[in-house]
Amino acid sequence: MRFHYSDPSQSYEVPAVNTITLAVHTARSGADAFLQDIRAMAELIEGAADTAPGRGAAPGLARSEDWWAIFIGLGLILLAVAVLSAGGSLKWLAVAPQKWSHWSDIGPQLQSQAARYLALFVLWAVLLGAGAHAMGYRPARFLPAFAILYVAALLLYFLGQWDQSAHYNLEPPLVALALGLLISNTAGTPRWLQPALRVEFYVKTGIVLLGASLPLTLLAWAGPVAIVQAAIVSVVTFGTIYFVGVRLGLDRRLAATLGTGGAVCGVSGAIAAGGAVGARKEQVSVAISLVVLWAIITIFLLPLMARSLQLPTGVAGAWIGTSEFADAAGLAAAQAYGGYAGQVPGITGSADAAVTAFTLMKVIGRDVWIGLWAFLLSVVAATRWEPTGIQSQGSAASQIWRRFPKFVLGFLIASAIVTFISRGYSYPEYKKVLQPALVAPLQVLRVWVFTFTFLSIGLTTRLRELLVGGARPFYAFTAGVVVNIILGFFLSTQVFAHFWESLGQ
Amino acid sequence: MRAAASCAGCHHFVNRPAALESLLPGMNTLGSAYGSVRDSDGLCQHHQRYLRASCLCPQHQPVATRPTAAARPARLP
Repeated sequence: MRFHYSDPSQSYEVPAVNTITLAVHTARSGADAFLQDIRAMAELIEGAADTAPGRGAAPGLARSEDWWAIFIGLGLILLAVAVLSAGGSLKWLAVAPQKWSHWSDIGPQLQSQAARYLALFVLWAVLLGAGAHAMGYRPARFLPAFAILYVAALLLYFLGQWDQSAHYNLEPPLVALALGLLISNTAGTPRWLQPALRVEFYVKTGIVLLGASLPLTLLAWAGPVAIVQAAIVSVVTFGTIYFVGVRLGLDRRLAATLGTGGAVCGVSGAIAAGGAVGARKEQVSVAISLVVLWAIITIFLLPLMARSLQLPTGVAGAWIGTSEFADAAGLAAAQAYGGYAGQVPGITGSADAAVTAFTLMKVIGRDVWIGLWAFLLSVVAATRWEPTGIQSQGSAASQIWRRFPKFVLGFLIASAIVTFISRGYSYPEYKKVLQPALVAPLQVLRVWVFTFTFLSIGLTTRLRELLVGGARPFYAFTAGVVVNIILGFFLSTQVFAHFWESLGQ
Repeated sequence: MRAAASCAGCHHFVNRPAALESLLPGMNTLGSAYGSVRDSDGLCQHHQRYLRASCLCPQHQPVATRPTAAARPARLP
């Protein structure tokens, strides 16, 4: 048997016997690592069946979920524009449950809209299935799993439309997360469901679609403030985690990996920094675990705290964008909080303001700088820290672009397209014509793909896997979390409060 | 262009996304090995380090078998 042992775009196939040699070799680093690697090897062998040559694994750019998120998101936007120019709208396809107050309302809704829900399933299955296929998942595995995910998302969408859902704190993102966590950590997520649980793929697609709701003028107006606020918090958070970590005796590479995970973009930040500084495998694992652990906690904590303080949705969104670590986790928290608008007394602002402020802060303010962080850290690691015996070739600066989260380009292009389309419309005309016919269907599609995201987070989180690494990394990271939350709160509710409050008004 | 002796062509280097997500639990929960941010980084099973594909070291061991054209992954139509 033969399978890929490295990225097919850069490396070569090796005989299976070589992998066995590697597993034996790995045993030298300890029994635990050996057992973990044996398990990984088994999964690797099984996974190889998914990506075996000729079965769909595409090379290079086509395997990147960032580019697929752009293809799908912009493809849907261009389709909506084309249909609009022909006098129609994607409204029929972008179906969503209506408000209901009694269980008996659901059946007739489902019955009358069955064809639309089926058509929407086909659309998502084809688009997301194509992306998953390019990444190496066999359609025969992805599609049945995705069908279950779609049905679960439909049920959650219905739950969110219950007129009592806010009263009982049944916000769909939080319910999706809690339900997924419960299943994943009790009965266990079925293995056959795993191919459809692609958190980042879904959230990136949703963010590209989100660009269609935000005019370029808003990005130009709010972007600089988001960048300033995010830069302050990122630098202080990184500094806190790094210096507390070093003071506690952590290796500098671990401290930097933890710091970037907490300060910039969560797991993505941790793996980018880990690769840039040449961190040890267990250091990257520890950073990933702590980021996920705290991200899950803050998904519930931040909306709860913001709700108790009755923060306006825009302000809360900015705070969440400053203090959450991961895009998907933050969107869950921001969307949940946006759901309180008009439902919970004392909370002002629109539902979209929370998601908009979050996206500006997190995506524009923090995510786009990851390449620069990785570059700076790689230079410091190579010139100032204890050598590892491993040299790096090529230009370190090139990683600024290579690590750039490309889906952000899709977000900006989506914003530019809708801004261009709406240039001839007055604001009342925009609200009357363009909003319902073009933007609203895209917003519905965005909610769907975000719901897939929130379900996938819970179903892929295994808490026992996160409890690794010992006390010192936990203390260092937690110090950064505390500073981040306090500073983010201060900047969002005091320094820039008026700005975030007026967002979307 | 990477030199032939870089990690990208090393027997010890694992950077296939599916394998990385198996080797680093939690990576696919709020992150992904398929994203741009990872670039082409991977795990060195010899040094037990997470490295850029452009790295190199004295323990470099070229992969044993080079692919034929037919063995390369198929592109999507």
